[in-house]
Amino acid sequence: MSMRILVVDDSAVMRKLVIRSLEMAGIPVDQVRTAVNGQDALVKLSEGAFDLALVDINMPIMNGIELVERIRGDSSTASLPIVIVSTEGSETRLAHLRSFSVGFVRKPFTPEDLVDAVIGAIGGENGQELAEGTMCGGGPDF
Amino acid sequence: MDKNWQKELCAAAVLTFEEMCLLMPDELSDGELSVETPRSASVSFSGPICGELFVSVDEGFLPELVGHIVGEIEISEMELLMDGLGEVANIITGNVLPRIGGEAAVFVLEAPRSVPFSTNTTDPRALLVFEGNCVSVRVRVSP
Repeated sequence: MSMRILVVDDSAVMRKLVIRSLEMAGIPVDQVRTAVNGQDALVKLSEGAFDLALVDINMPIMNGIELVERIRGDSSTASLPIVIVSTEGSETRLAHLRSFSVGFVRKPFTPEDLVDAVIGAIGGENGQELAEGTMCGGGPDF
Repeated sequence: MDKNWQKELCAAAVLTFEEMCLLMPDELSDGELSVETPRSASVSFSGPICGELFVSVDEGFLPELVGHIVGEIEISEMELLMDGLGEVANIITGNVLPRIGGEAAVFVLEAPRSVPFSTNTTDPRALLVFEGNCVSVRVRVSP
């Protein structure tokens, strides 16, 4: 499977790092689009379909928590696999996020951490297929 | 200087540089940064503990540091370089606070910003040396 991915982070460096980590992990990417905050992400989501969103929490204008709530509350995007990529370390806040069925990877992360979270968020046969094609199984050695 | 802050600041900084920049420090101390053209970024935080964390580095080392993060050799755009330094500050802050305040504590982190270099000998701090290039991490805790 080749994926259409939305990367949401207000830091240009972090957006580059996330995309590079996906490439290093061997995740087959068909298209990557980026957004600089939650509001921007909602615009991008309205413009086309995605297979996965990687979302930071602390962003201006609309943060990642509100974005996740909006995505889950919209029937057209409710089932979108989401991985939170954040410095967040509070178990209290993470428990709230987990109630929205999202994956989580904490910064700083390795490509292995990221791909594990992506596979977990996608789940099912697609997740298994992805695992077999990446560094988690059958992919290139690092 | 608070020894617990000092210890956890060092641990969070080393973890961040190892995993984000693939850089392992040759030396680690509580020394002062002494460079010709310092550049600093900071992140303010509030919650059970309030304060601000600063990361400072010589401007000449900044392209190499940020280059390690994104895997690119030639980065010269200062806005992108400071964005990278700000993210380093953001990640160290996000990792040190649960170590100090506990994992249940909720902190609010402000967006990273560029700030003038400053120093304070009583603040907990860590000086990391990477092949002769120094990075200073310092935290000012509000009373």
